[in-house]
Amino acid sequence: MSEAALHSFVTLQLIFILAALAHYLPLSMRQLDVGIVGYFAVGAYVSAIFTRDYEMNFALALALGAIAAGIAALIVDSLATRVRLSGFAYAIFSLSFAEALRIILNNTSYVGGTAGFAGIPAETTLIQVSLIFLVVVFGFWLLDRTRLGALKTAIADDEFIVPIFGVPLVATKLVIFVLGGMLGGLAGGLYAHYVLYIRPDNFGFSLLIAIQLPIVFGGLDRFYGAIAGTLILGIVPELVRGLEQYRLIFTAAATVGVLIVRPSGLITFETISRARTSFRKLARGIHPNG
Amino acid sequence: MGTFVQQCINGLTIGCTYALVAVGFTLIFGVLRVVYLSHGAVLAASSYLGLYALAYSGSVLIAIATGIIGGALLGFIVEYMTVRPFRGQNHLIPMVATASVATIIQEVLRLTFQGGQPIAYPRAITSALYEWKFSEFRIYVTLGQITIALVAILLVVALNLAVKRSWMGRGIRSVADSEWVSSLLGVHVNAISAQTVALGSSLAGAAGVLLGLTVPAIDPHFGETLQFKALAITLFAGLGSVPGAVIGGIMLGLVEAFASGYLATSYRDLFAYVMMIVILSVRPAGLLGRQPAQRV
Amino acid sequence: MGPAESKLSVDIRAGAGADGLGIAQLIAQTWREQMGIKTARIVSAVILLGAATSTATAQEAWNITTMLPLTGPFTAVSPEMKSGMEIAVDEINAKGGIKGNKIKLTMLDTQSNPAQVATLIREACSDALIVAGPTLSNEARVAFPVAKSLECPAIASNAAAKGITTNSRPWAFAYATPAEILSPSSIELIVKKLKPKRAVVIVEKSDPSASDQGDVSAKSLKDNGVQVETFVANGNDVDFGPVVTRTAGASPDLVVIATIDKAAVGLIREMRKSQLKAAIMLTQSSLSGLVNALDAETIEGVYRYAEADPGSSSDPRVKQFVKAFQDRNSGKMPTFIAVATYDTISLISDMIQAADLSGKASDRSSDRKKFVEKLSGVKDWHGLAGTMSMSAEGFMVKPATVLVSHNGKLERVTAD
Repeated sequence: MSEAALHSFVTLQLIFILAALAHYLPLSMRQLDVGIVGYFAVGAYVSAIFTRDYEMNFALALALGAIAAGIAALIVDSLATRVRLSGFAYAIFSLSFAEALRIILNNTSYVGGTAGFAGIPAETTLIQVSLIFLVVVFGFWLLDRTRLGALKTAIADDEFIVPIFGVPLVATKLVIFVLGGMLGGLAGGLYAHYVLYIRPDNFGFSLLIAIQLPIVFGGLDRFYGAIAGTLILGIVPELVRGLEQYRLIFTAAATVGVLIVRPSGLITFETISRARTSFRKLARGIHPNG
Repeated sequence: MGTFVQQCINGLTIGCTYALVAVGFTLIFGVLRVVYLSHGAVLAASSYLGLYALAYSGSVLIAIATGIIGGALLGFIVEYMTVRPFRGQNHLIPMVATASVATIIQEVLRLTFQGGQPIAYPRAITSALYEWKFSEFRIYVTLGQITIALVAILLVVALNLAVKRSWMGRGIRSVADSEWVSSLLGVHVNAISAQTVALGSSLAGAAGVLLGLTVPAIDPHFGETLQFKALAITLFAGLGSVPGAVIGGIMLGLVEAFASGYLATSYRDLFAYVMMIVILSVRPAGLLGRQPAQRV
Repeated sequence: MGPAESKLSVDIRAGAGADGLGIAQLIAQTWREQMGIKTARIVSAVILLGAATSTATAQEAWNITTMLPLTGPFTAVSPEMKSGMEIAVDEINAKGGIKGNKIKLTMLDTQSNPAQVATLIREACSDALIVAGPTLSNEARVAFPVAKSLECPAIASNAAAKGITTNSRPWAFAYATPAEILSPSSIELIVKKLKPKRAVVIVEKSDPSASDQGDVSAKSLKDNGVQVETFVANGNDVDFGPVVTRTAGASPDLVVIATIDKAAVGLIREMRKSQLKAAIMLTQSSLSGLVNALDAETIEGVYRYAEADPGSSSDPRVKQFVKAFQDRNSGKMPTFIAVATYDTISLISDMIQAADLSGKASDRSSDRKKFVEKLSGVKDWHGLAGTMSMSAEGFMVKPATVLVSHNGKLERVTAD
């Protein structure tokens, strides 16, 4: 690959990893909020409107896009939580919102409708995205060590028991959902200002599959699973040259394959603890398998 | 006046098509309680099988039979790979697994059949037109649309009987109520699950072939939109309720026909999604469904 | 010395990049610890195989790269586009290529994904002299600003949307003529011929090209004094009864169908069933092999306009192209989709010849400038689609052909 193409590839991969991490947040609580494509779209469109039509500063526009997406997540998820939707009903609920948004965008001539929104100023650079990526990863690492992170894991373990221990269930859930929505909106804004042309149909079911499958493939136990899954399924088809026509089959088959063999995904708690022990043993000069 | 009557007929025929797809879907959903996203892909695959059966044999009945058998087999395989291994686990996993398998099926179809270009079914007797002329207006319908309506009605009756009277039906009802208790009582949950999916998928197969005969052309993705509408209908009418699926399907068909016929709307697809949001907010069990035992 | 190590040495001899090898080794080692030796070996082999097969081959050929959606939701027209290009390249190379060197056409898959287009356009601009792509409007919109920033010529063969080249001049071009030019002249012709009083335009809003042509057609009809009503259809509908019933209720003399192929076929069939008395005109967006596959009875008397129609042309070059296409596609008749990609390659080849490009890697940027200048000034070029010239905005202007189906064949329509 040429240098420019590699640049572009890495930038977009990092953006998709951010979206995957955003989707990971609700999934890690066993809440099937699959509205990520909707939040991504909101972030993309809102930030693009501000930079193109109002000549706003990029960082500010990105922030506004993220906030708008966060509000969207708040609306969808508070409605869903109020009704106490169970597993798959939640998924369908959030998916309906995302699809409804897409149809509305397709019919709104101000944002270009089906013909899309063109002329977005080119603002995203690899350096920006890398920095944001590092900050976000650090944020996730930190999250696991704070009270919020512990609450999140508790909810994932058993949602119904948790209120007995005084955990503010709804508040915690909503905070995590909104964080997920905002991160999704941020990723969307970065995407729009790199690709420079967006259409509502880009944010449909195929994008959802592209984001979700690698997360499940990588493992839902820890956030490194989402990162690893997106990286592997994004990079391997690029390395193996004959795979062009079979790219999508490869991703789908890999996901089903991994799920059948290791339902918790590639990277599970077990993998991480084994890696840690091996690391420690290596550090002490003992052979890992010894 | 003539326009209104014709629109009613249009709505009914569209509705029966939706009902056909929704019935199989609601069966699978109601028993398995997982987000089963492979229904549309199975429908599309059976449609292709029916296409070749029709081309080789020239008989519509053979094509439908091929679609039914093909659908059942495919459904069986999909269930084995994506639902059975994940019983009782986090709902996300079967959802992703069925979505992945749907993608695989669609890609295989695309690679095998002319790169995904739409293909039309050969003309068959189902395009035979029936019309009634009145003094002021004329209404018409094709044999294919009549067949779809008849099959939909037949299915309600047959499935209702099967589920209420037969051995398999008993097993299905039991598992739909509670998997856990059923397994305690000695019901082979895995077998019931496989049978249900095969049954639902055979309906998808029949629907696929019948649709292939009525729509302008098929392509690997044409089952996707139908799947979402079937999802909306299923939720609206209640999981596992066959009569509900038929009624819901017909209602959606009528709504869409009148929306296209009288409103200037390209928001027509929005109806299905809004319906889902409203139903899930107000009455998650659906109109005719029972409240499922709640445990995520 | 296990099997994994011997695989490594084989690839060193094959000339794989050293960096890829080192990293692969490291990954393989770590994975071996965690995943088990068997899996690690398989994975390492796969990665090394990829590294080995991506060795570059230096050639004295004209490097042209194109990109089209070979996978993903928009793949329906890709087989035809691919075929058109391949026929052009094979014909030119059979005659000895351009200035003695053959054309090397590289096809990249955009996966119907704009993110992939963004990456591929950069790759194409670094690998190729000229980029004959993307082919479709949506993808061109993503790629053209990038092509401009990289000073790389990019020509879209089937991109007929409004204004895609405007902000990326002088590097971006479109072979297709936009609806603003094609539709009005065709509508004028049909209005002169049929003199309709009322018309209905059925638009597929979900497709931008169809939507464009629908809007322009409706406006042209109004400008020509016809009463117009616009209704919406969708190709994924299972039944076109509602919209056709509504159309019939408006009692039109002319129905203009601005949808894509599936909806057009469904609408025509439904109109026959409802015995609608109006004349039917298909816009270019509705045309494809599917429409051509309709039987003679159903398509009888239906009008259409397109930039070109290979089936009805008497030009011997077109006939030769049709035969070549049918040989490669089990007898299917090509539409202007394939003609567009064929002509794009021919145009590029003629421009390279006319601008006397050197083809050497060192001269690439001056070659590109010369190419762009030559292409911008093209006048009366003879393609399969007819005679055409390049406009100042960067798209080729060609007259539209209005045709009608009679007894299974297409005939030209003239206003009489």
